[in-house]
Amino acid sequence: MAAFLMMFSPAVSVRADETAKFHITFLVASNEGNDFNLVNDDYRDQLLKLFSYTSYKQIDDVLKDLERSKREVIELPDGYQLMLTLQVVEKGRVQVQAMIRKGNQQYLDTVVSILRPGVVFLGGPPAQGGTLIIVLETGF
Amino acid sequence: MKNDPLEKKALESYREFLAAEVSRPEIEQQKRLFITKNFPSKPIWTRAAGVMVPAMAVFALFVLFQNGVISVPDFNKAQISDVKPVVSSADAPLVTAEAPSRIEVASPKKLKKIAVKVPPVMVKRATSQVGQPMVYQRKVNEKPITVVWVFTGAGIKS
Repeated sequence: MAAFLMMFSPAVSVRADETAKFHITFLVASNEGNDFNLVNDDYRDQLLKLFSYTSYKQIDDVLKDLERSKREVIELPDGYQLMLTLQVVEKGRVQVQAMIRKGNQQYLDTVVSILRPGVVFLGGPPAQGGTLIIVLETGF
Repeated sequence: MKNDPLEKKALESYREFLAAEVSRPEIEQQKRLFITKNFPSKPIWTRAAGVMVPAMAVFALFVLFQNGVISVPDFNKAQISDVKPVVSSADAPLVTAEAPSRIEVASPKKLKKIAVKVPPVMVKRATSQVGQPMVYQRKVNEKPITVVWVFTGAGIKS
């Protein structure tokens, strides 16, 4: 019976203009040693030129398919959370709200509009003896 | 001294005496000698040039006019080449200004197609409850990279 009903039920699909793929990389940067341990090595040059740290360690990287107006929560080490909400999807740009929280404290709440393909770096909160850096990529 | 007939007569007598003295032949000869010695006369050819040059110039002008080398324009007679032919109104071409049939105005759709340089990342909001957020952009390998950072002690390269 359920299979019969499913045959006639309309397929639930999400329109392309309401989703956007994001590649998120989580790093901990510090001045302890000179390790450069990145699986996602695409932004090595940028990290070296943008930040004054001597050591960069990748702790995680995820691929997320964000839906518009739907909040996505990603758990991070040291009790941090990254909340992503896709707000706007246009032909060449996406607008997303990114929030870094720990418990009740809001470390960073930002809304960025990214021209695809594009990347933005978020960071600053202390984590694992260093500083948390999040690389947000879309459109690749 | 008023005009006295006697005085007048005396003056006349004195003048007559002087004239007689000066007009004596030997005096005349001395006068001539003095003049020729102190004021020599011009040579004959200069005397001739002073007369001949102007005369020859006049003659030359006369010859040039006769041959038509020099001519005096007749100001009373208009030159045909100086006058442009008059175009009658009947022959003149008719010139009309055409009004444009349609003025091209960029429609909103066209305006959208115009290439506009937009930044790759626009940060519309950045707030924090624990520190000062900062938006930072720097060109790395000719590509602008945007960083949204909250300061809690860690630093970005300046």
